[in-house]
Amino acid sequence: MNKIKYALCIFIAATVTCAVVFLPYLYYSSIDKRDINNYVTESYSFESKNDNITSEELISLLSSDEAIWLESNTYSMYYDGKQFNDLLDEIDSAQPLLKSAFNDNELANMAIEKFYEVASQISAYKVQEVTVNGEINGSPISVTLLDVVYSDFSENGAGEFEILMDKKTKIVYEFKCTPKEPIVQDDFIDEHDLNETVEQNLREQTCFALCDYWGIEGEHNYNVETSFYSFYFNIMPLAFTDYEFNNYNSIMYGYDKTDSGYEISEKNNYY
Amino acid sequence: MKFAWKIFFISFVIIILSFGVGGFLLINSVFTTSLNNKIQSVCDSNAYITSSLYAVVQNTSQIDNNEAYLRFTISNFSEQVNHNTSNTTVNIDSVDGNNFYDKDSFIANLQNNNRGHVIIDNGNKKYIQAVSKIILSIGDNLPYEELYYVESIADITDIYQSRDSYCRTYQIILIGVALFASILLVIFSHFITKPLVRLSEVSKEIAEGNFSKRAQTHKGAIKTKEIAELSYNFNTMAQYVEDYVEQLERAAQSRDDFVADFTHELKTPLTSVIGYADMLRSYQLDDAQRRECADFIYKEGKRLESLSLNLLNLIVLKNDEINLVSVKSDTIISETGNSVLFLLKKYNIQLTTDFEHATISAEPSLLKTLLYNLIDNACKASEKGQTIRLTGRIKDGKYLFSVIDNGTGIPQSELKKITEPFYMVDKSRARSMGGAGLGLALCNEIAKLHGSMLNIDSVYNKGTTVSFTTELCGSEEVLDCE
Repeated sequence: MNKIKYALCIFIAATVTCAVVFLPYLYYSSIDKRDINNYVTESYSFESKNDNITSEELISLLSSDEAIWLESNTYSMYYDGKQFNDLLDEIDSAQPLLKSAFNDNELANMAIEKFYEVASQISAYKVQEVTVNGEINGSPISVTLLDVVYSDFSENGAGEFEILMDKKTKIVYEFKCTPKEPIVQDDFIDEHDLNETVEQNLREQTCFALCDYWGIEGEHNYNVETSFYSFYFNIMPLAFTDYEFNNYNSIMYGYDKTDSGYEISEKNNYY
Repeated sequence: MKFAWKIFFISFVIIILSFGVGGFLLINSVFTTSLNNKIQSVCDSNAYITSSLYAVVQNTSQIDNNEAYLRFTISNFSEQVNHNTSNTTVNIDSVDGNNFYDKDSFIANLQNNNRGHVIIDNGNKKYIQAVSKIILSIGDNLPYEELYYVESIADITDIYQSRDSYCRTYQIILIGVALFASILLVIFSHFITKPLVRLSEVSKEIAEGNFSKRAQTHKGAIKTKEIAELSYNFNTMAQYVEDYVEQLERAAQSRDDFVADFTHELKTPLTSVIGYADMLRSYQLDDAQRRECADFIYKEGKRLESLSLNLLNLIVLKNDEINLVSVKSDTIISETGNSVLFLLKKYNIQLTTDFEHATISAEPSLLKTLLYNLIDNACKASEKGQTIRLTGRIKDGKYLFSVIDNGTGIPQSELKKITEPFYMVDKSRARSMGGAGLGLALCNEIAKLHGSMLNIDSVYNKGTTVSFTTELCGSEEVLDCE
């Protein structure tokens, strides 16, 4: 009787040990069969954002790792009648808002005037059109940014110009005006004793004006570089061309407007 | 089954169950969390891509009824997205495209604007597939609509491999724990039950008759408080049993001695009676001789009668209860003094009394018998001309009677046995005086009936003091007595 008890206890202990040792396999073999091919569905809906995207939202979108960048049009444009004028009209449409933002800032106004003055005289541009897509607060967002770059070459040197603007809101997010000669005019030089303090004051005025223009707080990490020879601002700390977008091996494409509508054309070797 | 093995099996099962189930729950928690996080991540990514695709198409909706442009935009979007997501493959295709990982699964049943996910097992690998079904339209005036699926596929084989790896580790650890716990539990269970085994061995020895055997209770031998208490209580019980057995043995011995003494005391007069009766029957004796024989027979008969009466009294006194009444001490002492006048005259002894007046609770006739016997013994022990004192004192709330003589005394070694029936210090002397060794036994029984014991204080060849106490009556009882 006692031997039977011992045998029974050993059997129970061994059974418990084996059961516990193989418990995960026993459990997962049944759970895996249950989970695999057992689908779960849910419904969703989009709440389209009807308002224009704000500068804060754009910054958020540009900074997001998940944002999907699509380069829709990149090309070099030479003087070509109507299309050239269309592009000039496009970048010119941003001028009123920009000028009104820098109402009292003489350096900014002189840089803007210089920018558009040279733009009308230049016969070639590099144009890049990009859409940045994603979600903000659950709403689908797509922003089309137009980046136009041109240079003013001559025997005296080269001037660099760039404008990055939202095609829809006409707000400029990156602006560069580095002409061959100083931005400021002679009469400005006569009126002001040119020194670093004046430059510093003009820079501070630029920063205040930009914060109002973009509708952002002062502590935001934007980039402003102003001097009597160059005028540059960017809503992001880095230049637009430095963003992740450039790391993508994207297919550049565009569309040409023809008499019968738009036609898709690969633009990889456009320029 | 041994107690140690019971402890081993129960503890082993509890340890294995606790450790095993706890470990499994931990693994399952880690696995479930990882899997759910991955599923959520893929679903969130799919939702984001779907939302972005919707935004892209909305942004280009100015191109009316351009199916080709819609598809091209989506194709470009798809490639761009796949560059963006390294671990997840994204397929975007129309419903008719059939370019999905598992078109036969839930995709076919997916409703418009619904999203679903499923785990797919292709034998070697496992994937999480999240699919959204979306209607995309291009053009404001002449919109072109098409139904699309956005599918995100992520490899989750590593999560399952990690789980299986954890399970293998868990098994190895659990088997290790089982072996380690077995060894430790065997040692500990035997260590814990060792004092009980020792106690069991001691109890076995006691059961076999070695009543002096005791369990160890000192510190160091037993560290568990409960076991120490058990050992201590066991030893107390063993001591009680030993004492009781000794008492029984003494009682048995006493009974044997009693029977032997009684037989001897019975045989002695009977031998005389038989001898003288045979002489009367067998020989022609003259009148004087016949009278002498009859006289012997009569005396021995009286002695037998006295023996049987005393025995009867002893048995009756042992088994009966007496009715105590209040009586004055001077009455008892004076009546006792009167009753022993014959003895005093016979042994030529003087009796002096010295007592305090009090009312005591006693059975008068038995108390007088007790005092009579004590004085009788004192007379027998005293030389002619000596004086015996009978005193009565109130002491410690009781009344103390003492009979004091200056006779032969009793050796110290005999004092303990002096109250046993048929015990005589000097047998020949006692018998010559008609004693049978029952007097003090009777006295002791009477003293017991009065709630006391005979206290014998004796110095050999100097004298003996025998005393006992009775209860005093209270003042109210004294009135009753009067």
